[in-house]
Amino acid sequence: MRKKLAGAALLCAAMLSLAACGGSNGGADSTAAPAGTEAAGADVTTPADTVAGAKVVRVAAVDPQVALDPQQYTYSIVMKITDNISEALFTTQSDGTVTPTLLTGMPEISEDQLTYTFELLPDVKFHNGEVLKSSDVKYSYERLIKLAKMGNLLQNVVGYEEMNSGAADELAGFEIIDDTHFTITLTKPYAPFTSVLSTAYTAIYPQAACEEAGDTWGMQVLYGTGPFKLDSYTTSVGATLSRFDDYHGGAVKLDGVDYKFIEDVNTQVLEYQKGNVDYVDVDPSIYPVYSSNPDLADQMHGFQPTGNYSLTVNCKTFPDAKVREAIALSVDRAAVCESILHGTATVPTSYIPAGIIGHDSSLPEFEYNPERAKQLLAEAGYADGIDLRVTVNTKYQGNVAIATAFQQQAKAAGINVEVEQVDSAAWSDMKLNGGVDCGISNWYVDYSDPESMLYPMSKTDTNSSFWHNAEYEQLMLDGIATTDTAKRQEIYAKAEHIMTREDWATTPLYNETKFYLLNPAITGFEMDATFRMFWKDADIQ
Amino acid sequence: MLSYTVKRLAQTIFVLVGISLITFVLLQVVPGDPVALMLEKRADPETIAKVRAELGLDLPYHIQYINFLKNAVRLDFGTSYFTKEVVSDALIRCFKVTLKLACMSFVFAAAVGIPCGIFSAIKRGKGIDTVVMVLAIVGVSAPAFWVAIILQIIFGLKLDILPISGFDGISSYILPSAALGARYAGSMARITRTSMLEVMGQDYIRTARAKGSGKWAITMKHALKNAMIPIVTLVGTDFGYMLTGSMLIEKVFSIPGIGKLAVDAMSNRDLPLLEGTVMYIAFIFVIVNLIVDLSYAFLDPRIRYGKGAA
Repeated sequence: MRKKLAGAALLCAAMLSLAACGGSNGGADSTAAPAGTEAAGADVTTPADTVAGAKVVRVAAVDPQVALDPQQYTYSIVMKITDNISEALFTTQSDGTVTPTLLTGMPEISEDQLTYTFELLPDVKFHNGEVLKSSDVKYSYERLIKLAKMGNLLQNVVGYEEMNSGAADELAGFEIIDDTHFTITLTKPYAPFTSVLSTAYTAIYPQAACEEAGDTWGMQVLYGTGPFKLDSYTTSVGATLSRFDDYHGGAVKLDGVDYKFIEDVNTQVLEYQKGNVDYVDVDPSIYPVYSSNPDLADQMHGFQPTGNYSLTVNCKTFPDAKVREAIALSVDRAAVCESILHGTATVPTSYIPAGIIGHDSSLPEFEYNPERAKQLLAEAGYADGIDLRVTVNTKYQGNVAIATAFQQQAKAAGINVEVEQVDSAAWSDMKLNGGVDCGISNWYVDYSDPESMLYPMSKTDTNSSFWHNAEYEQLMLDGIATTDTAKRQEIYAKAEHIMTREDWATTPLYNETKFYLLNPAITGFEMDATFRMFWKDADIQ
Repeated sequence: MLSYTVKRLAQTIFVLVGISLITFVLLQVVPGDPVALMLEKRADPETIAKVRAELGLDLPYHIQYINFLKNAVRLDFGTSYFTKEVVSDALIRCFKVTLKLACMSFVFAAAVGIPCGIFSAIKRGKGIDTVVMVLAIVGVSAPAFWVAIILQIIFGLKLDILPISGFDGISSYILPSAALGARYAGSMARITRTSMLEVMGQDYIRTARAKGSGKWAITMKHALKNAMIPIVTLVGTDFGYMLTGSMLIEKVFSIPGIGKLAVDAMSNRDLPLLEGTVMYIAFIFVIVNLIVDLSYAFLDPRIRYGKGAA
């Protein structure tokens, strides 16, 4: 009897194993394909550019695991995909200028700078065949506000407050004239407005399809006006895009783009080396390993994203600016860039990066001067030095190494650094609640404007420094109220000077260079300075 | 036996409730707000309050926990804050993948570890015994992710005979199974050898030899069967661990299993997903331990459960 039972158990185990190991689609069968497209679980591992000679670029990406909808999810990994599917009214070019994408030209602006009149391009089609109308733009902006995440990008539009509070269902400042004409009225002059309308968050969706899709928008259905349409999006597997033949922006050379979801940064590069992907980001942690590989030398490309890493000091914990300046003087940025960042980063001269209004190229690099730091601490009443808790988000392992180096460097200034490592959830929470005395963080612009760069430090109640300066805040208001570039340059340069060289609320640490590997057969691809990837003009030779 | 099984299953309910409570309390204590993480870019107090209310996080803690329990009874763990996927769907999706990986890793570990342990015990003190045990220690000690990368480079890149990553077909599972199973194969080999050596010194083995039984029959029929209890304990626990996923292996090979799901849920403070995952892991461990305990009775007739058991 016992033998029979054991035999039955063994048989069951064997059947379970076979059942578990059977089938070839892995977990792909559990996710759904977009309506009217190919079945989920499409074989994204097959080199698509060899299939019937199709020109398909294969991109290694991290699985977003969320809807491909930047209005709901603000992750750059989402935008990496959606930037090729959906479009905003404007595009920010690499030189920072804003050009119309879905419009016949730049909007007419009233004399008081409050009313913008737009004209849509005629006969622009969404991927479902519908024609773009003014009502779609209005719907998309109202949806952005309702979804809350990035809604306050439109906070200067008349009616935003009412919609955000739930008192109104419609955006009062958006007036539809006809299917291709509309106006937007602002509460006050707002110079970066067109830049804001070039962000991925302000993508225009077809109202009827988006409403009908509901929660499946971005998961099973996503229609835009972009050069590629979404064929499938399968969690843990990938996303496949194919060329949209009715694209309003002219002929697209590629037949499609395949995003292959690979979690591990090292595995991504191995897949690149094997020829299974054409594009891969090179994580800073593995850059030294692969940068010295002669086979990859001509395929490695670098770019400087518009933003920086900085050391932000909590003004509640350290209310004396002299102490904050002493902390800023205790970091040997050159050593950090050279040793920890393998020479890939540069010592910053300003918080506002080059290419953005307000950047002052005449400023010197932020210096390492422990003697001066010691003197400042003594003047502030801390002749015996201070204890400093530096909090770092473990998501960015490079920051942990930098904080550890800072621990040694700051000793010369009499600063006793304790490094605290927390995960992303704790980091976000602690920043908001004043739990970070001093933290290393990074920030990249959402749009090429100083307002976006200075945003993290602009609101007293949300900046992790809890820094407040009336003159700075007035300058921020002045900066958005004028469109005169020279004036804005002066305003933002002054604002930055107050923040980083007078009050020392935050101090830039380094300007990083990001690297990626690109199959040399691919031409016409350039990484956007705001870290957006557009494959529209790419081709495979 | 039946009453013992029912009693153990009833205990499971209390274990699961206890674990869910501990998980819930810990999540309230540790720093980290899922809403702050969701809204990181433009998290102002008004928006945070709005989203907290939408997710029901503005309710008193005890109400939140009672609501969770009420739904959990119906196996409804809610919806992930971030992915909006129904938690039970996510668990099933990842379980399918983890089960495949666990079964293949288990087969690999058992097929390599147990015979090596038997062989090593038979060849005790000889050079081959030392070699096998050194390899077993390497298997136990080497970090799984390191083994994974080495396997990827050799078999995936250099020899180009197996996929480097993915979970599309059985061939995709070979390298992750070997990387995950190596550690368990090492520990199985060690425990098998120790257990076999202990049994081989027993009187009944000497008697079997005196009766003229062959070496193979003594090893497999008399020694191995009696050496199985510690092996089954280890193997059962190991299989339990495998079924709860391996975050590192899943990450390196891009396999969407339970381990990665749990770690993502924790790092996002995704309460519904985390509670669901913890419940799953706890349940697997309780059930695997129960099966292991019950299997002792089949392996050793002296072990009896239930009323009047010794």
